Amino acid sequence: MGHLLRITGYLEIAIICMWIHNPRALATIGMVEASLRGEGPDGKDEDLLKRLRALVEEARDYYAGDDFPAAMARMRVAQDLVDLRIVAIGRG
Amino acid sequence: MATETERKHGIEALTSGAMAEVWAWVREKIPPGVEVFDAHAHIGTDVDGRTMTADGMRERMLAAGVGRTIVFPLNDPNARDDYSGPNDVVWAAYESYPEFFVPFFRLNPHRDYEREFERSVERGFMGLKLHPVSQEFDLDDERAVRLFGMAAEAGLPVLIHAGFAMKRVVEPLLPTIEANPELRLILGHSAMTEVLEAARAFENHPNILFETSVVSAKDLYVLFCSLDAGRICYGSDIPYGDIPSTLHATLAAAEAAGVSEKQILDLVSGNIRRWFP
Repeated sequence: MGHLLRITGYLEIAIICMWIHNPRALATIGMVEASLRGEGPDGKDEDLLKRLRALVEEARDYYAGDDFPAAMARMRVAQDLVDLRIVAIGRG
Repeated sequence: MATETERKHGIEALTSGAMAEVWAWVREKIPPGVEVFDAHAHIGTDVDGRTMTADGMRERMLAAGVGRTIVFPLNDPNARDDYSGPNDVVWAAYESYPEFFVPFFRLNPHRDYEREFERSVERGFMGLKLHPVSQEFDLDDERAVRLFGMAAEAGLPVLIHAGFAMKRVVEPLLPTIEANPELRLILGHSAMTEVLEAARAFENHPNILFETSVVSAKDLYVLFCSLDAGRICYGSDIPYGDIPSTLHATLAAAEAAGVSEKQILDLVSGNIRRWFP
């Protein structure tokens, strides 16, 4: 779960930066991509990580292309997927 | 701000690529024939450059299977003193597509609002929108409290922004709610920063609905675990939010919290429809 907590933390930073139009928003999306590289510690969340990588990669491209809604939708969904997975793990 | 790229790609970009699987999941959760009711969207222009037209809003609704939407002005640079101009834009949208839109008017409690309130009620607006952050007032400001009382007396629901940048929601609102039990109130963004406190404080006030637009799934999960789903309604916050990602957050959080399929359908449609049949 610690791995997923790291990822949602970076997603939070990036979403806030996008929301307030911080000039480093694109860099913070890159931080999320970095947090998603490689297999998770126990290999149990690979399907989720694959979906997250696709969402965040597209979000980066849409944000760079000046399409804010398409980028933000993907970042929100990515964070929601991670957070609800953390909730599910917590519930056992 | 809304760019040409956004306008061109608007809807397709939200349901293609990695979003296609997300959108397919959302559509699977909403049976054919169920008309989603969006309780929070904007038409007009904002000081930050964002815009949404009646046609743009209608296109998005049709593409996503949304039947009706509560619409109201943005934080409009042309608001002048009384918001009459932006309110006129929303009214024109309603007159163009009355079957799609439920028009709310917007006011600034710091300004003279009596005339515009009266004009809007006479015109047939169906509710009032107040934004404590954009208009820089507290929910217990006496001018806002007076407006809540006027809305209660007129039988008008009030939607208040209770989301991003809100520092106080429950404590300043509670005396007004207790003094006006007939007041119908929609908490925009579900009072997300105080979601648990709000669910507890307003649990026994059935005229208060929690609206879900751009609230994260983790906040919504807490809400669904703390409050009867019959008190929660779906919203998109277009043009700041969008229909696919906000529906996904609402439905996924509700499912994770064990909300029944029947209740899930009510929260995307029936709960707010009770106020606007």
